[in-house]
Amino acid sequence: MREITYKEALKEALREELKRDERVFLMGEDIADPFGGAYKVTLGLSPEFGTERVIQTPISELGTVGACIGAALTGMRPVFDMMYIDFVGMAMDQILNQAAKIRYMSGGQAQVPMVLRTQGGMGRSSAAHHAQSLEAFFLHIPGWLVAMPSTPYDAKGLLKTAIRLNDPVAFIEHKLLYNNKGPVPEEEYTIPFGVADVKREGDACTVVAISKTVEFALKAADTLAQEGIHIEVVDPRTLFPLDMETIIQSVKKTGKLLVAHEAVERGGFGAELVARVASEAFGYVDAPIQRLCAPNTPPPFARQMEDFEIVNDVKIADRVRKLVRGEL
Amino acid sequence: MSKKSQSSAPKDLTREQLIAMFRRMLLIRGFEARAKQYFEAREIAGFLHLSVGQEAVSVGACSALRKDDYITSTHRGHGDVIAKGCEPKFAFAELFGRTTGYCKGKGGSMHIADFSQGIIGATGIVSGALPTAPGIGLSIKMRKTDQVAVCFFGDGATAEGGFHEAMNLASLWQIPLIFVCANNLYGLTQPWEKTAYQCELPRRAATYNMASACVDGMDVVAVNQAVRDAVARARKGGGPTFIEAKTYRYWGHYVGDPGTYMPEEEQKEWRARDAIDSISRRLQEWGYTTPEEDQHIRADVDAELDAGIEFAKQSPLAEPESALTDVYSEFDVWGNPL
Amino acid sequence: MPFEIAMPQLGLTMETGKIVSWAVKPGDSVSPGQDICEVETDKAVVAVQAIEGGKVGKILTPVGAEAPVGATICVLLGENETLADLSVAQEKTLENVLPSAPVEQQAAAAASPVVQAGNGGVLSATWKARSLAKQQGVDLHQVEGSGPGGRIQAADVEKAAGGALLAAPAAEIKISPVAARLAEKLGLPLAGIMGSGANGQIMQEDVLAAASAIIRGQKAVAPQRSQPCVKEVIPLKGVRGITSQRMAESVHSTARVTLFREVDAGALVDLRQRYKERGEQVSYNDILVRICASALAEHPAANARMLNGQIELLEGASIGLAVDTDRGLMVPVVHNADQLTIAQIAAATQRLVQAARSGRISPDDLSGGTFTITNLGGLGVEGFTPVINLPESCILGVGKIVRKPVVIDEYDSIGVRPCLTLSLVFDHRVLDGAAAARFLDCVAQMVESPVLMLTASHS
Repeated sequence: MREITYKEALKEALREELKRDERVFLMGEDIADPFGGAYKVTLGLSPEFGTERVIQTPISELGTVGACIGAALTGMRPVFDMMYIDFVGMAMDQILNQAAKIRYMSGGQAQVPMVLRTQGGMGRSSAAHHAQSLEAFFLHIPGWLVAMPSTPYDAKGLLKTAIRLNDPVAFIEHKLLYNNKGPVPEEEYTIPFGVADVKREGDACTVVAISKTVEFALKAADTLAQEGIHIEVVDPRTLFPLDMETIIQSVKKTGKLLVAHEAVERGGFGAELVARVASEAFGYVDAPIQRLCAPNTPPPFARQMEDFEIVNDVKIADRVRKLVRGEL
Repeated sequence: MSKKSQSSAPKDLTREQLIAMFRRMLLIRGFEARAKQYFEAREIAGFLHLSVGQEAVSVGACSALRKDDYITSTHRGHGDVIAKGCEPKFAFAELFGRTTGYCKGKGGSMHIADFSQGIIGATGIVSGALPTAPGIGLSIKMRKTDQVAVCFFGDGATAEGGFHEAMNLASLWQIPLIFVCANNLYGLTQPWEKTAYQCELPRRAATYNMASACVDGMDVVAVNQAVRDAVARARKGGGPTFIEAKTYRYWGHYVGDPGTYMPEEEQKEWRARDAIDSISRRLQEWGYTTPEEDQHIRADVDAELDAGIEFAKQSPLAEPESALTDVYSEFDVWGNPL
Repeated sequence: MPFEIAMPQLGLTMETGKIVSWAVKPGDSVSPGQDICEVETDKAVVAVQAIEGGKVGKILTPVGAEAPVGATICVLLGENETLADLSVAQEKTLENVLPSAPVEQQAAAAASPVVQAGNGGVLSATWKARSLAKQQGVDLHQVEGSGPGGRIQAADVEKAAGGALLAAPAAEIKISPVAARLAEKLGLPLAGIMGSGANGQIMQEDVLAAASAIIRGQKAVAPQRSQPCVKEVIPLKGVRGITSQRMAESVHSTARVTLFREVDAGALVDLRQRYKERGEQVSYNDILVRICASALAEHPAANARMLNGQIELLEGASIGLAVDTDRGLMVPVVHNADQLTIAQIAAATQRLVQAARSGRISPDDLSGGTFTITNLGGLGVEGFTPVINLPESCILGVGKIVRKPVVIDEYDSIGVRPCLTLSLVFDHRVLDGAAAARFLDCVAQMVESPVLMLTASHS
C-alpha cells in the first residue's frame, strides 16, 4: 500500500469531500494559497476550489467560528480551520453555547453539520499559548463529538466521516504528526466514529493512548517486547463516541491499564476513561490503574522542559515495567 | 369614515398590511402580559425577559421580510419570533414546558426557535447570535438565493467583541444581512451613555463601511420603511445594513426587576409615545379603521391569546426522559449511533 | 443402637422438607411422641414428633436447611451410647446428606475478619482478586498476597482455589442462616456486626440491632426524604412465604376474569335461621359449600383444574374454605362435599377451622380441593376479586349481606331485601365466560331458592 503523510491524508480527505458535496467549504486563517495553512494541510486547495470555497478570513475566531455555525444551520457544511487549539478561548461562546446547544434548545429542529479542525501538542517549543492539548474542553461539552487521529490512515478516514456527520465535530490533530508517513489506501474509505483501533496486540498490559502518544506507546511496545513484556496498545480514535467495549475487552485480557496522553493529568480524558473502567470493568482490574500525562502546568518553552513534560516511549515503558512487575 | 387625514397614510403600504402590523403588535403585547401573569403565578419557570414597549421594532422589521427570510433573536425574543410568524399558542406551550412547544420544552423563553419559518433561534447569551448571523448571510450567498437575514440585538450587545467581529465580517463579505439594534437605552442596568463614549450607533456602523440608519423605534411604519430599504439593498447584492431603532422597554430587564434604575420622567416620556397607541390612532386618522373595528381587533387578539393559553395548559407536559434526546442528530446521549 | 430420625412424608406429593426450628439440641433427652422440630412443606408448617426416645446425639439438618423425605435429620442415642457407636454405614449416610440452603459453618480457624497480619487491619486485594475470590468461594483472609505490601492479586486467588471451582460460596463469617438472610435483605455488610451467639455467631437480633443503629445514624445525619424507615421486617417464610409465592404464581399464570352477581339472600338467611332454631350451628359458608357442590355437579367445567398442560374435569366436589389464622391464610378442604348433608358439612368445617387455627391441621386436610370459597362478608366487604387457588379453575368470593331497597315485583314496587354479592373469579384458560356465567347463575338460583339443591344431579 502506498504511504503518504498525515497532512497529505488530511488534504485528500478535504479534497474528496469538497468534490463530493458542494455544500462543503473551508474557512480559516491563512488557509488559502500560497500559504496553504500553518501546517500546509490546505495547500493547493484554493486554486482547485476557489477562494469562495476555501475562505481565508481575518483574525476573528469568534466571528468566523460563529459564521460557520450560521452557515451550518442554514444548509451548508463548513470545515473550520482553527490554527491552534489554544485559540479556542477566542471563540468559546460560539463553541460552548451555540454550536453545541442549538439542536437541543430548539427541540431537535436544527443540526450543525460543521467540523472544527485544529491541532495542539508540545514538541516544538511553541510555549504556553501554542502547545496545549485541550480535547477535554470539547469532551466536557454535550453536543460536540471529538476525534483525535494518530495516523494518516485514521486521519483521512475520520475526517471524511466527520464532514459527513450532521453534528459538530472537534477534529484535533497534532502538530508533530503532520509529517508522519503511513499506509493509506488509494480507494475511498471512511472510518466510523466510536470504533477504537487495537494498534498492537498483547497480554501483559493495556495501554490506551491518543494522538501523538500512540506513536510513543508503539515504540515502547517494541522495547518491552524485547524484554518479554507484550503490551496491548488501544487507540480510541474518537473520544466521544467512545468505544468502551474494545477497551474493556482488552482490560479483561490483561488485567492492567495505563492511560497515556499529552494533555495535563487533572481532569483530562484519562480521568474520564479511568472512571469508566473502574465502574464498568471493575472485576477485571488486577493492579492500580495508571495515568501517564503531562504535569499540571502550562506548556513550558525550553526544549529540556518540554521533554520533561512530554509523555514519551521511555516513560511509558518504564511505567509498564513497574506495573507488570507488581511494583505499583 | 373620515377623509381628512387619508393623505398622510403611507403610500407603499396597504391598509391590510398596516392593520396586520397593528394586530401583531397587540398580539405581542398581550402575549407578554399573559406570560408575566403566569410567571408571577409560578406556572412558568426560569426567567422572562419581556419586550413590552418595543413591539414596533420587531413588527416593523419582520413585516418587511418573507417567510423564507431568516432572523436571529435574543433573550428578549418573544416579540421578534411572534413578529416573524410564531403562533402564540405554541410559544405559550414552550413557556409551560409542554411537548407541543416550539422546542418541545427543551428551550424555554430565551431560546424559542422555529426553523421552518427561518427563525434561527433566540439565545441566552447577549450578542450570542451576532457572530452566527454573518454565517447565515454567507450561506445565502453561497446558495445563490435572494433570501435575507435580520439579526436583532440590543444596545448592550454592541459592547461585546462578537458584535464588532460580525460587523466586520458582514461588511467584508458583503452579505445580505441586516443588523437591527433595538436601542432601549439599557443593557440590564447599564445606561447607554455609560456603555459607549458619546456614541451614535449609525456612525459606528459607518466605520465598518456599512449602510446605516437610525429610526424612531416607537413608529412601526418608520421601522418598516427602514428595513424595507435595507432588504431591497440586500436582495440586490448591495450588502449589509445597520439600523438603530430607538425604543424603550417598559418593564425592566426581567420579570422581577423593579427597574429602579430607570427614572420616572424618562418612563413617562416614552410611554407617551407608545407605539401601539400611535398606530391605533393613526389607522383611525387615515380612515383605515373605525373605533369599533379597533375594538374588534383588540378583542380578537385577546381571544386568540386566551385560546393559546388554554391550548398550552391542555397540552401534555414534556416527558422528563426527553431531556436525554436531541443532543446529537446521529447519536444518542451515550454515543450509540441512532 | 443409635436411632435415626428421618424426614417424614407429611403429604402425598412431598419430596423435601425444610427445617423451620429445632425444639431440642444435642444432649437433650427426648421421650417418644415429643415434638422435636417443625418442618415446612409447601402447604404448611408441621410439627414432627420423635417416635422413639433417647438422647439427642447429632442434628444433621439445621434450621433453614432442606432434606429429602427419608433422609436422616437427627440421630438419637441410647443409654451410654456415643456417636462413635454409629456404624460405618450410618456414618456414610450422614455424610451424604447435603444441605441445600445456607448452612451454619464454623469460621476459619485463622484470624478474625478484622485483623490481618502485617497490614494494619485492612485487606489489600485487587478488584479482580476480590471478584474471583467471591466467585470461587475463596476466603481472602486465607490467601497469601504476592503483590506489593502483600497485596492479593488474581493469580494468588487462583492458586488458593487450587484451580478448582467450588459449587457454593463458603461463608467466612459465623452467622445463623436466619440472620444471614435478614442481613442480605437489609443490605447490611456482615463485617462489623458483633455476634452474640455461641462462638461469636451473629444472630438475628444482632443484625436487627446493627440495622437500627445505621437507621438511627442516618436519621441523625440526613433526614430521610423519600424512603420510609423499616419498622419491622417480616421474613417470607412459613405460611407467609408460601402464601406470597402461591398468590403471585396464581395471578401471573391464570387468565383471571371476575363475574359479579347480586342475589337475594332472604332464603339463605331463613335457612340458616331454621338450623339455628333446631340447635344446629350452621354458618352461611356451610350452606354455600353445599350449594356450590350441587352446582358443580351440574357444571363440571367449573369443577376442573389445569395441570400438566391439560384440563382435567374432576370427580366429586371437594370445597376449600379460606380461613384466616394467626399463622396466615389457610384453605382447609371439605372433601366430597357433594355427598355430605349441610349438617355434616358444618361439623367438618368446624373441625377444620379449629385445626387450622391451632396449627394442628394435617396436610391432607389442606389439599385435594376442586373449588374454593372465600368469605369476607364478616369484615364488611361486598364484592372482590379473590385469587384462584391453583390448580383449581374457580374461586367464589362471598360478601356481606346488606339490606337494600330493591324492585320486588313486576309493578316496580320497592322493598328492602337482604342482598348478597357473589364474586366468581374463573380461569379463562379452563372455561369460558358463558360457562362460568351459567355456573354462577346456577349458584345464584340455589342461593335464592335452596330447594333447587334437591333437583341437582349427583355425579
